[in-house]
Amino acid sequence: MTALAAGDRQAFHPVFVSLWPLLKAFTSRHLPPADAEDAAQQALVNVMSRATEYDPERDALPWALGIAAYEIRTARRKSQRRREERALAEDLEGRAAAGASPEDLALARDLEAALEEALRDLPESDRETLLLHARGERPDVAGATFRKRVERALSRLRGAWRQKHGL
Amino acid sequence: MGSSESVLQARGRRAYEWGRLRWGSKRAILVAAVAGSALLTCTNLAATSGCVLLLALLVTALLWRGQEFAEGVRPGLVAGLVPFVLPVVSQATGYFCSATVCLFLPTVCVAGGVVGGAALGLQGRRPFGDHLGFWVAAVSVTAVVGSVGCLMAGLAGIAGLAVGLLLGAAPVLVARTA
Repeated sequence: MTALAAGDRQAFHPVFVSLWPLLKAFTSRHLPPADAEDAAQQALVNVMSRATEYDPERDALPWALGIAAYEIRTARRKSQRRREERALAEDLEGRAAAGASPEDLALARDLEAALEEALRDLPESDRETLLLHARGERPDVAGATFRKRVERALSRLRGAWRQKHGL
Repeated sequence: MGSSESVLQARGRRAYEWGRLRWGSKRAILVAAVAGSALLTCTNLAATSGCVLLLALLVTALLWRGQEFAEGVRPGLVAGLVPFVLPVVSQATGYFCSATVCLFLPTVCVAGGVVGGAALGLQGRRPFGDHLGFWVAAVSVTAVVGSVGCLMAGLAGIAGLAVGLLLGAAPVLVARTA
């Protein structure tokens, strides 16, 4: 790793061959198989991208695994976001499908897509708040606190909606 | 190695090379910013700007290349500091200078070159001091840094710098090899 950091291109292959299996094993322990491979690949690319900044005073493996840990956290956040969006979409679909005409269903789907787009612009905490509110649930906070959060999240959602759709 | 691992290795290599280039260019920008202070007192803006740009590109390329070439950059910058600063200060203070020309400058460049050359010769104790790439990098960086300052004296300044570098480095290198 020190040689690679100094610019010795001959060191690339040995570093790759020794690091790749370790990164794959590390991400596999913390993520489902579908996400583990992607996270390991991204971690390896990031390690190589930052190889020049590697400090020879430090151990190479913990440094590389630290980069992999960041990719694991990122993959988990993305997975969580996908689950939230799916839950919200299913919720809306369910409500729209109950005794609705084909036109109503189409409108509901367009509305759902527009809502998803506006939700994507919100911070993660706002999305979580709105999802809980839509389900009629409340986190372990005081009622007034949660109402305030919902109010702010809805206000930001309205802002995002107005920006995108001008309504 | 499977084809997917070959693809990943290629991605890794590209990321590595781009990472080295980004790292080198960040440092080169700092160097160019310092060297760009010469633009405040220079008489030929276009030539000095070109020299500063050349220095930035040279430092980027040497740092990207790495190993002995990257090792030669810092000694080159240190050695080039005196031939860079002396003409800039002379021009800025106007000492021995008229409004448009500084007849003292070529001599200043020779003196700066001698100091720079001696400094270069002494740097040879560093790691990679026995590698040709180190010397190519160090000498070229010294010459370009010194030129940013000595361009004020025109070709006479550049020639004075080159003479000074040789006069300064030769005795030190001969003494080291003896």
